[in-house]
Amino acid sequence: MALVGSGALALALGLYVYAALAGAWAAARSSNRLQRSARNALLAALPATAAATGALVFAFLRHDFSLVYVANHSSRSLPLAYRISALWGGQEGSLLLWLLILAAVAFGAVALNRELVDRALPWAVPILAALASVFAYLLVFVSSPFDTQAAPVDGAGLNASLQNPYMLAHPPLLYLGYVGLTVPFAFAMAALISRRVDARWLIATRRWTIVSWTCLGLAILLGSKWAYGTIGWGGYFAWDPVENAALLPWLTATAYLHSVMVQEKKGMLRVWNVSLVVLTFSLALFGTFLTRSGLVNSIHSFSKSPIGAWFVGLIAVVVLASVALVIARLPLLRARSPQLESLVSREAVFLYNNLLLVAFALTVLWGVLFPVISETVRGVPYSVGPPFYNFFLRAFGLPLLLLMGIGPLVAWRRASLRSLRRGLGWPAAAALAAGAGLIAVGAGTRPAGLAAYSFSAFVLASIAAEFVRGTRARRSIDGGSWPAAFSSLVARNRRRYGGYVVHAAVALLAIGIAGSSISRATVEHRVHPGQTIAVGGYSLRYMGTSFRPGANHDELRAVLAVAHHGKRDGFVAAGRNHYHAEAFFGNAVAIKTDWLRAEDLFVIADSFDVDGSVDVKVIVNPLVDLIWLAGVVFLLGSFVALWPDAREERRLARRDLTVGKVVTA
Amino acid sequence: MILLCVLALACAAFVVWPLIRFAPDALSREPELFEALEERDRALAALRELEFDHRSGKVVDDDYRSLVRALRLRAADALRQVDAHA
Repeated sequence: MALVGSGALALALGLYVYAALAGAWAAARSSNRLQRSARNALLAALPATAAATGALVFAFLRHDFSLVYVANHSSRSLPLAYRISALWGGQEGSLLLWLLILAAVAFGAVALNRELVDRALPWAVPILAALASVFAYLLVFVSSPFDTQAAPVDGAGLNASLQNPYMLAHPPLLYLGYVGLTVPFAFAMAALISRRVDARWLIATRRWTIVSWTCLGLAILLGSKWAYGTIGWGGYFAWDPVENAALLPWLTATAYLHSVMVQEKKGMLRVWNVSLVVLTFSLALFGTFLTRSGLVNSIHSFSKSPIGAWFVGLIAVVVLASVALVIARLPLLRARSPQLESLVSREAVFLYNNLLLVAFALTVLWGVLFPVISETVRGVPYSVGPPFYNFFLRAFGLPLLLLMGIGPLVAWRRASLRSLRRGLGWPAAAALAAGAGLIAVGAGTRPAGLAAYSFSAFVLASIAAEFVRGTRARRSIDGGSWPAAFSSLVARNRRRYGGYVVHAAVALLAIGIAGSSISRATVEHRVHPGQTIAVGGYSLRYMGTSFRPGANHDELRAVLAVAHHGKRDGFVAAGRNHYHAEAFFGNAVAIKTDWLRAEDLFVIADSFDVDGSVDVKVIVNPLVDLIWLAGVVFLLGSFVALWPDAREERRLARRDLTVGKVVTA
Repeated sequence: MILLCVLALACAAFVVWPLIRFAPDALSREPELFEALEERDRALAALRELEFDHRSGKVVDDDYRSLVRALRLRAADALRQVDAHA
């Protein structure tokens, strides 16, 4: 397996290097033959990279401990699913997954846009290939997953934190998000080098950006769900540097997805959009670097590694070359770019939203980098904690939430006060009613929480108003039934209405975060069998312990009978797992969900004693499940936005046909 | 190992094939026409959107009247540009 894997990786490296060099030469010399050969090399690198990945997975499945990587990240007792996910359980495998995803997205983006790449954006191939070359080089020469040794009897096992169903999906989704952002970056840079600053690169990469952004968003959410159920502190996002590193490109990609509409609709913000693409991709690289380098202390950084310097070099080259290119093309990008007509217009709202998102991203970046800078310059370690981030989340997040409600109600170009009054009426009334209701029931004591709930109500009401008004207008134009009009409304502008569904998800997220942060109730006691703990309307009676041995791990649990407002409500079992191969104890929290109230009863049990006593911490997390529901709504909105728009595709095909006819003539 | 050799040979053939096959050595040059078509599509889409926003009540009559004239002029200009480049 080692020979097949390393041979396939060497082949992939050769193909990437050829695609980068020949592709650059062909693009510079307008050589169509060489360009197609380079393109084919990039496409052919996918099966080579897949063969290397397949060889490593096969080695995990066969317990081939002669591979150092397999021995270090699996054991004979490891369940099948985790033997496959062990592929990304360490640095070398993660890099290989990165390269495989890059090979796949490069294949997809180039194969689906062959005409565009051949005729207008030939530089996309060498840029994608050059980036892939760096990762292939690291895997072949610096950090190979195919290093061999005399095979031990058993492996060291997989990090116990990674033996979790969420870890089967979180890392691949995260990498899909990070790596997918390479496509808009490569196409944007190709457009700049070729001086083709029309919207073709942008249209060609739109879906790739939305897919990457969706994957990144879901990865952050799944990572939060993993942390919530595994780390055992009752929270879901700790502003850990590596969590922040995933959030950063998501924030700037969100800004880009909004500002790109302004360019498509009005031809504005061309400089801003390419700058956002560069910033987003650089942050995606930074995220990978932070996870892999061990630069910062984080539960997610597995070890110090030799690839840190390579990543710093790659990020420096990407940033410097991209910035130089954007500056060189400024006159071209600024030509024929119209000005903002009014500060009260849809495009102006998008601009405000962009400024807030980028400001928040830069603030979070500062929070991540400051401890490193402080330690390097002053030699004093300094940590930036949740209060810093929570302050700026409120400072930037609440205005963003408000803008999310205002944006859909404001017309493009400019809106008069009368138009605004008419649009804002119902949503504003809904927000005021929600705020007044909360104050009346005594839930509005915290201004930030009250604002989050009221603004979320405003957003949801403005989205509902948009759907109602749009459906009514569609019906008055086309006739027919209400469902047909609704369907036609969404089908004619999937990105807009899919976007509104995503906005609804963000409003749910805001309510979930506000509720679980402000109204959480916690109690912690050492209890003996028969004793009861009461909190937030729940009472939990400690019944005793249970022990279940297993092949991979043993389970020790404290069993508690639950009653809610005096009514029996089943049992929960929380405790510890002992992983044999890893010689590691991990938390096994118990979570009892009340879906109707979107509330969790969260139980942690620790410090078991022979006398049967145990430390039990019980947390009641109100509205927390709206956060996970938001993930489902977010995915639904992304699907709507991604669904192919036949009308637009016909229009673009007609445009290409027109150009084709003229060029042929 | 045999599979790896087959894969390497297949990749090499796939890469070399465009070099030995005839293909015209020229990239097309059509950015001006494409920009004109884009501007035409943008102007027409803006007109459609304004009509819809007006009908749905998002744009009041006074705003509609002042915006529609400018957009029609822009669309006419964009169509002229397309004709000029084509």
